[in-house]
Amino acid sequence: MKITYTSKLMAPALLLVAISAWACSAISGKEAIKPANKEIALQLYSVQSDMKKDPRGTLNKVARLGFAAVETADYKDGKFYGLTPEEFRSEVEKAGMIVLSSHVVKTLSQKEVRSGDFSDSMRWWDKAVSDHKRAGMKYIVMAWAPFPADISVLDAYCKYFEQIGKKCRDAGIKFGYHNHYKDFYPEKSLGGKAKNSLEYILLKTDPNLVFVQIDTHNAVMGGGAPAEFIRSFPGRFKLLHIKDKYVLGESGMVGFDAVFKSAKTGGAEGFILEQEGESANPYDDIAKSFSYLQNAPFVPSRSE
Amino acid sequence: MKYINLFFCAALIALSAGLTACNTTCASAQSPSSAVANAPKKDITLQLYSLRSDMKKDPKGTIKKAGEMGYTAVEAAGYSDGKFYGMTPEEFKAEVEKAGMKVRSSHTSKKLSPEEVKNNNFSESLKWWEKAIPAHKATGMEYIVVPSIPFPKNIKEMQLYCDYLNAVGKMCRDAGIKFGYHNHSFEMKPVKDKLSMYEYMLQNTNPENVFFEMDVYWAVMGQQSPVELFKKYPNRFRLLHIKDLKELGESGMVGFDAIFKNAHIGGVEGIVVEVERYNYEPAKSVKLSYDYLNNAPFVPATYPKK
Repeated sequence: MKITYTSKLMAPALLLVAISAWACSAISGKEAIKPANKEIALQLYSVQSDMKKDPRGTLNKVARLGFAAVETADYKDGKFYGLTPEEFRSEVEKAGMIVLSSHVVKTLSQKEVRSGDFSDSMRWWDKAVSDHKRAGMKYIVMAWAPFPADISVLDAYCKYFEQIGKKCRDAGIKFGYHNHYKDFYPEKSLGGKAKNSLEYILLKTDPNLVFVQIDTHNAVMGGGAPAEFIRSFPGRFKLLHIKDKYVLGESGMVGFDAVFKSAKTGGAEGFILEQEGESANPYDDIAKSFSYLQNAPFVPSRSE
Repeated sequence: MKYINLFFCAALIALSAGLTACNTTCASAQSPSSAVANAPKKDITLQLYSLRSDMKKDPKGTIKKAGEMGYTAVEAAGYSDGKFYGMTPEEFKAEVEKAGMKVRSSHTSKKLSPEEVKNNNFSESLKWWEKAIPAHKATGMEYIVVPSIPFPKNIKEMQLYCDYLNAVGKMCRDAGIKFGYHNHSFEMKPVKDKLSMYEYMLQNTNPENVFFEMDVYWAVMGQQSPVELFKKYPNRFRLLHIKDLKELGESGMVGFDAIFKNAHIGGVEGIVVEVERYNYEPAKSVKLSYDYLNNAPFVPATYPKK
């Protein structure tokens, strides 16, 4: 068979088309095939029931979505999702992620608030801090407190938070408080010292011992302005809870561009996605939120 | 020799085919500043309440300043006794058009008297509108919006206000003007069992006579998702009040990207900026707010009219 011009030219011609198409997709910014380049952690409460049933499998699913780290929402009897601190750390790292942070709740008893003697609770923290250290935690966050509250109760909690903060700092861990929406509600007993409970906590606690993990959707639901609040207390927000009503960027209730713009002033060291809500397939919805952050020009990438 | 010539010919054809394909996919990746420079001017209305103290001191100068900032239209908030900011409708129209803008709409209201509420009869108030509507028409405006009504004492009063808005809406429609209602956050509170005042109004007004100018900041302050409201009541929101705590895009309280992405579901034809609180001089805050929308890739130049 005679080899014609056409077939001899086809191969190089096709090669050139292939090369230009490849070069095109490499520079056009369509990131479908690129690996995740933004460091985002996931608050595991977003997949809490799966984590309780099958921590290893769930952690792998989370890692495959592209998350760099996790924040836990289950510390009970010295264990994280039923695993010892070392086991938990091992599973997270085997999945290719980092153990970042943990949400715990240890409120003061009425007796402790009245007496100002927190030794009972501090004994709990002795074990908790040690367990968290073994799990490789960098941060511990008090997930909830009974706020708004009378100024006398707030004063007790400020002293309590500082004691916890000191214990954490001695173990190389940072301690913070995570807000719900009522933390932004006005509190009369503050008498103008602060607009709300959260502001009072920030004004009364040592920045070296206590940070605030601001939850963006909770803030808005409480009538608070997350970015403006962050700017008014520079350096106090080591972690940001990036949360919308459900999937990020869908409800119109949070201005994420403004929030991320204020992150540097806030002293943010990490961004944690939380997605609260029932869904037939939470992983698809979490992937949508992750994609929103990946595609957002205002979310810094690893190199920045 | 022939082979080599034909090879390069084919290579060039292949390369240009590849680059043409590249251009179409790369078009969206052009730099933001060049995109802004080449794009048509965005249709953005300014609610003049944003410059209320300037409007009191020097209405004509302030209108001129708004045009210079880039706004394409104004929404008035100064109608009284047939005049807008002390000017006849024709004078007001002329000043706005001199500044390169249009008179788009006005916040105008006529509260029902206690007698009208007691007697369930708003004919006196309708007489007021008989005079007001032609004055508004003379400015060339397309929309009249009631900025607020009182939170009703009972369902009877709520329904009376819905009937009243429907009636005014019909009068406006007959004059070729669209009539609407603008919310604050209190309307998100329940008026009947769990149903909010806002949703009661949406359900009990005639879509042909009454639209809703959703103020997105106040909706969020009322713990509502603007996008969910668009989806639940499609095509009821001809205008949006694009408002933040202070300058647009600064507080983190409003997700403008999500709102604009879904505006077509709400039936949005136009946007009105309102800045009520400021970190700077009002004029600077209002200009920064214009810039935020002008630079935002999610804000289109125009909106389809329905």
